[in-house]
Amino acid sequence: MNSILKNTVLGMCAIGLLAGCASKDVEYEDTTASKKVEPVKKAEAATETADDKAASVAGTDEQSVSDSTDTTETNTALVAVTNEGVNSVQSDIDGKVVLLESVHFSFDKYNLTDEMREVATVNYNKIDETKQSYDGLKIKLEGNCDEWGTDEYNYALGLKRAKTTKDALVADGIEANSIVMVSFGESNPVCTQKNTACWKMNRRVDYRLLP
Amino acid sequence: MIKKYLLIFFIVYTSVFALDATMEIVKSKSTLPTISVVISSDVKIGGEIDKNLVSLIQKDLQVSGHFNNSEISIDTDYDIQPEYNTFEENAIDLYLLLQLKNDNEKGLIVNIKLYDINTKTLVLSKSYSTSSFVRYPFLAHKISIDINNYLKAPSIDWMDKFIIFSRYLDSKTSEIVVSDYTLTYQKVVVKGGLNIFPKWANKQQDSFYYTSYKDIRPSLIKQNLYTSKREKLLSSDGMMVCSDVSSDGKKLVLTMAPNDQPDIYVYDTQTKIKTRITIYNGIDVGGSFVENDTKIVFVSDRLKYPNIFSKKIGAKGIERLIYHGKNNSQCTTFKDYIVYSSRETDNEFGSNVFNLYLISTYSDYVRRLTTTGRNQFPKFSSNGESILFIKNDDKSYLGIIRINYNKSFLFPLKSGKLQSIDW
Repeated sequence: MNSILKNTVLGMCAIGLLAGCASKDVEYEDTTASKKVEPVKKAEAATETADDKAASVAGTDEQSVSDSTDTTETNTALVAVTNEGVNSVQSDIDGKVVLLESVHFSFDKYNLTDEMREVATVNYNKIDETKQSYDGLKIKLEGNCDEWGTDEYNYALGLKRAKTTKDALVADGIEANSIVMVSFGESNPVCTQKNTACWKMNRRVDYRLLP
Repeated sequence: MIKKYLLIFFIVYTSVFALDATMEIVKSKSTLPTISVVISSDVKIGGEIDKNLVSLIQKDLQVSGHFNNSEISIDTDYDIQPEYNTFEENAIDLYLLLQLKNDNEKGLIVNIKLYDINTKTLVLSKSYSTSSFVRYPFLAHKISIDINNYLKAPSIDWMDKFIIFSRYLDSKTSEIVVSDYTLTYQKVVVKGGLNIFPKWANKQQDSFYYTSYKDIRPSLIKQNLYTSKREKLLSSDGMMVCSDVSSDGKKLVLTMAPNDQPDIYVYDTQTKIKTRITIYNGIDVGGSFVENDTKIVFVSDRLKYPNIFSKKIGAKGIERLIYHGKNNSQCTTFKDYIVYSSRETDNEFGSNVFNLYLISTYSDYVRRLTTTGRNQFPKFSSNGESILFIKNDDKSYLGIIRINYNKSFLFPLKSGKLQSIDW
């Protein structure tokens, strides 16, 4: 045991030296003669049953509880439609079908291009028309990102995209308190292939109408 | 005498890395003890557990950085004395003999004997058990920790801590899983819908926070690991993430957007009061406590690209911490050290590389910890010696960097894509 400890300690100190440690003032003692080796019988007497942390996991084994899925989406029977690089979301409000085109964004950006601003205006017109018939209609804006980031920043980027779209709707005349925003980060892709066209489709805000 | 000897070593060891862990370290393998892990042939459990247990212990010892593994093959019964000469001829210092039993009452029992070949002595004899066979990875980690402790090497107690992670399964579908650090043991604790950003609520790891998308707005849920009891704490428009928990477990750092802007908040779980820390018309996310929970380090795009900043709680000034990279969107802190993920490329039309970097707040030196692929979501271990991270390439991996040993290890996720991790 002495030799192992000695080798290990010296080895790890060597690591320290290589890491830039000023160790000249440190001396090491050869403890070979002073270390008593535990006799076999003593070691055997120390036999014990280990505290079993893993056993405490037992409480979770049969207790995975499922969350229900998003009830809002179930109620409004929303359908995502993707066609030739343009994806839209279809909302069914008491039998009236409203198709709203998603707004897309540039890589790592959350500002609307002129082209996407026009899409936002077209969506506003459809929403405004629908609101005439359905008082209390809510608009849910869902921000999404491509796969280039699994972290919290990506969720914030999705939210900023939703916020930009909300600002456009409000500027056009929709009441701010009728809009709900949520970011799904990269968790809600409409395309899962690994190519530029696919990533572009995923950088978007979806419009959903809620009764 | 040996205590004094080791005390000197640890003082040196600690001071070295307190001095500057950002420096590259070159390790001499020849000075590490070589250990042979053997399973006795007299009792067999069957299946893959025999082989997997040995493999896991060897992996633990390798990850520790304190041992070399020997692949010597030995056929022996548990009660037979080892042939010391054979081990000596193969330059083996330690011999670990395992015996597995299937007990009606205790479940899986693993008996171990550790021999010091140099002194021809049995130095450790112990028995471990678990009521469920699927939990054998934790027995492997416990055995490894005990062997490491016998050598009085720097602690690897983190090995039998739980890892908690979220993995994407499909669009808007993910589940939260508790596992060991090798992902060998896995237990789903939340499933159905989108459940992300799990974070341990305390050091005891008996409960955790996560973001649920069950309702129209994302909500922060606290769940007890053992009873599955859930409590909804808060919800927010846009996003809701618990990114850190104070050392006493009483305060949380949250990213919320009640005013449509993602900002950093501190939430007191006892008074139920939330305090807004940052006010910025852009992105502020990913806050974590530093300096005894008096300051928050966070990610912000206030320079028009994501970078790492800090703000003292209750004060006004913002301090920029990183002067390297053009897209630093995730960080973890330990004392004076920061590890951050930096996107090395800005490629809209192809793959991008994310690497992890280590800096000290007291020096300008930056140490790169990874070299290829997408390395993200770094998390320091509680003792600051290791970093857990996510690597997403052709598949998802849980990575561990042993900073002081200049080593890193990857453990593949069999299905799904890792979203976030905590330990």
